Amino acid sequence: MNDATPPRRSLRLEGILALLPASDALRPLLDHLVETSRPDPARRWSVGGELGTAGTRLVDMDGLRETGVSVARTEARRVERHLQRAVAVIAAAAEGRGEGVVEALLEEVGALEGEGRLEDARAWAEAAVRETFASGSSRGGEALRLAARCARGLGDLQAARSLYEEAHLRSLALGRRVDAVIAATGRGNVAVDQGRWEEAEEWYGKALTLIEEGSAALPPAEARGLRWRLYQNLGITHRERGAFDSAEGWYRRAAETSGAAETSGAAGVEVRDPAAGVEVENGWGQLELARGELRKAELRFRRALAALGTGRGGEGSVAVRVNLGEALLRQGRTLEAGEVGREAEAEALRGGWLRRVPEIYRLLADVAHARGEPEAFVFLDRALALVRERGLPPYEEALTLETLAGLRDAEGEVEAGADAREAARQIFRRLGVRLDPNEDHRSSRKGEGDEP
Amino acid sequence: MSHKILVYDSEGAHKLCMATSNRPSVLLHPPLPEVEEALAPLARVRSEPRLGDFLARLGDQEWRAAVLGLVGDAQEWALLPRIPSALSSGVLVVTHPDPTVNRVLEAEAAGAAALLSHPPDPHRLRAFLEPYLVEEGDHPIPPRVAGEERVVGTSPALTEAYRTVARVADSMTTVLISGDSGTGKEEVARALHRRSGRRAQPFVAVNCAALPEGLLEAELFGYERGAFTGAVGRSDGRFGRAHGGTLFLDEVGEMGPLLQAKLLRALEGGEIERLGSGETVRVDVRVVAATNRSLEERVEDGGFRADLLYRLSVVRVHLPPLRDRTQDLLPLAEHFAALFGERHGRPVRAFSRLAVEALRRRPWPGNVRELRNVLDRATLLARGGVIRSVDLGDPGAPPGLAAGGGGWEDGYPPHLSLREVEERHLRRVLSHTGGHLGEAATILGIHRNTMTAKVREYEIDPRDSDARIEGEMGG
Repeated sequence: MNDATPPRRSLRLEGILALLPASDALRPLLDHLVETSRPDPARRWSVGGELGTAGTRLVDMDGLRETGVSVARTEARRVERHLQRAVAVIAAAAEGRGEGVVEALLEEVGALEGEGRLEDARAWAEAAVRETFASGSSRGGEALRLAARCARGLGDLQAARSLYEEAHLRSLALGRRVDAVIAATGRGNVAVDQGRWEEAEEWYGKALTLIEEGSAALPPAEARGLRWRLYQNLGITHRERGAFDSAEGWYRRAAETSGAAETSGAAGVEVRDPAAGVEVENGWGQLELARGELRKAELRFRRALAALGTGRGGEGSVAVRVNLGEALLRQGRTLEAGEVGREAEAEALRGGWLRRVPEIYRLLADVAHARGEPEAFVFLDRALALVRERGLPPYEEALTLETLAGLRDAEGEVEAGADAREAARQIFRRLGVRLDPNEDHRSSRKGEGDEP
Repeated sequence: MSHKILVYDSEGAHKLCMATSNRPSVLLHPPLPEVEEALAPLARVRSEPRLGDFLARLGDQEWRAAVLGLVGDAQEWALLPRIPSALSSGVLVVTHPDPTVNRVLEAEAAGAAALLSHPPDPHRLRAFLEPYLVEEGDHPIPPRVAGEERVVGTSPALTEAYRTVARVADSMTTVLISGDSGTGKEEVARALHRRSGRRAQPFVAVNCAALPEGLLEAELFGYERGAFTGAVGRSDGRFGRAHGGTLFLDEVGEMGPLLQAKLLRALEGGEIERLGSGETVRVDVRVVAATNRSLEERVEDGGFRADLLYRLSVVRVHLPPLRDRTQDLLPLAEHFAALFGERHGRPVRAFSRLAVEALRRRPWPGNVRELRNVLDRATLLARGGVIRSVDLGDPGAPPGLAAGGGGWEDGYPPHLSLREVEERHLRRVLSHTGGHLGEAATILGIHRNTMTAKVREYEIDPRDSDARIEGEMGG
């Protein structure tokens, strides 16, 4: 480096965002900067640091030019894949291969979903749906189901409901039993999102019946995978209805079926699905949380994290950490809860899972509030901004507004609290979420419930 | 402190030794030669093959530690609640082949510090027990007096600060409190409020560094519904809420120029205007400000208005960093230990000598806030009412390591190889820098490439947080 070159400072993310125009084309670079940013050590011990959000993280200038080149190359590869897939769709159509068209379209749906481009993924899935109708493809149910999954991911719950129902019926008509089971499971999950527990149980029941009726035709491993997730999901609905004992029964069945049973070590049961261990422990932890067994919940969540291993745990570990943070917070262990929240934040930013950040900031806001910080709401303000900037699902906005209402109430800003609560309710109503009769709070468990 | 001990001899015979010894003693069931060997350098180990005898002996002795393996049937496990509470100053570790969540909690309820897999890894067990074997509580922590409000510390700097507070509390004078982050500036501001005639009115704090400028303006002066995106309701703002009381502006130096001008107008005229409203509102607010950086320097570089500084700093109070008022350290540590012990329902009665040394050795860059956090955690980790050096934590320590002292001078146990120490230190520094390799290389005085090579060599993921240990109790 030339001696005359002034030293390059690290810049704050919010400063960088303010410099650049708001443009989707810049998103890959900005996402990369977010992923590689770090907390500002100078703010470590200040209240401002404790309340710092992603915008106050630092981006190092070393190697920035190389970063730009590398991000551009990655983006070029992505665009190339995307366009080549479009070419493959056209070529298959020209050759009169309807299944080839559907296959290329659905492959791209998967790729786009993996990149978090749900709007694009949904558009490709809808194109696939149209093609399956036109060509009479046997994958019609699958295409509808993927469109439903994208709609759910985008928070368009009403559309997701009808797409899953259509997917279920079409899969049955096409004799695709597994697709029908997964679609029924997805439909149940949307009902969970909307706080409609009985409706969810009805759909999970349909899915289980289909498995039992067709168990001879299903490969055992596949049937087991479908079953344990349904048991797990039934644990969620029973838990939310307050039927804790039966919820525990479902979780236990999920653990036994998946091979992640707690007694696996002693009984020598083969652990057949490593992911099951994480999900079962996490679900069970949430049951303990609902029961008010906070220490048990904490241990369950810690076990879920341990099951993830010491490496990067993926998006699931962010959710587990948020749950662990809540268990610690409710035990009055605010310091640890805050640390766990920060770990979740770092992991979500590193992994590029910005859609997870609002829930993390809701936790950190609660932690800061419990620690007496009047600026706790800053996390919620940033979460709301993120939801709007990134087009995250509207229930994230509603859940954040709900938390904000609680904080404003606690600060004595009753009017602002009531307004925030009403704004949240309006969103929930729009999403078809059932509100409790006294309308004090909603009944949704956003994002819980999983399909295979 | 000396102990009556039971000596285990290598031929399997036990004899009670009534002499006193400085060596701590450990009771073990069932006998595990590897564990005995691992603990031998630290303690006298008495192995007890019969469970009934183990339980009977547990009450006879002042064991510093006991390791109870419950490897039999459910009936054996059911004995757990019958364990006598003889280990009031020691630690009980239970082992079981299948440490389920319920068993962890049952062991915890019986007073165990940990439930580990059986048979335990001797080295892990030793690392866990080491601080309990080498440290005793010999610095008592006075109990907290309920409802007591007092200044903690006796250093001349602190005394002077509070003398100033007493002199100016009952006036409308603005006060500027300076000091590094975490030195307790808000406490001083609260003391000013408590001692003023405004004590029955609100004390409202706002942290200027925590909020982006637009949000800070809205928070300070209030807003009408719809005044900006996200203004879902109407707010009186902090000035409005502090009417009749005190408004504390923390990290005021972070305020942007536009807001500085607006604040100055509010201070001079005693009037504010909510965002989205044309009305001015009169407010009666005493303003106390704080800064962790030199505002004079900010004025010189054009970042802060000189007239606002003049307005805010009619009286000044300075709080030096904790490292410059070491005589306040222990009283503060005692205060926080008692406070958090009470808050967490885990009263603590003493610090070990090594814990006190560890407290004195640390540089405390985060000042009182850091000390408070350390003691918050330590009270959760402490066993037998004693805070030991290991409880004071070391965020960079690898999992399972008895961190932060524990009988060794430099933070690492003496039996480690140079390579092990290097790996641990790399992890600590990386944790300190938040995984940033460049910063870590600078601290370690090595080239970045060397740092990268070492990270690869030791297979360290710089971004990894500490792994959790299954079955071990966190608090």
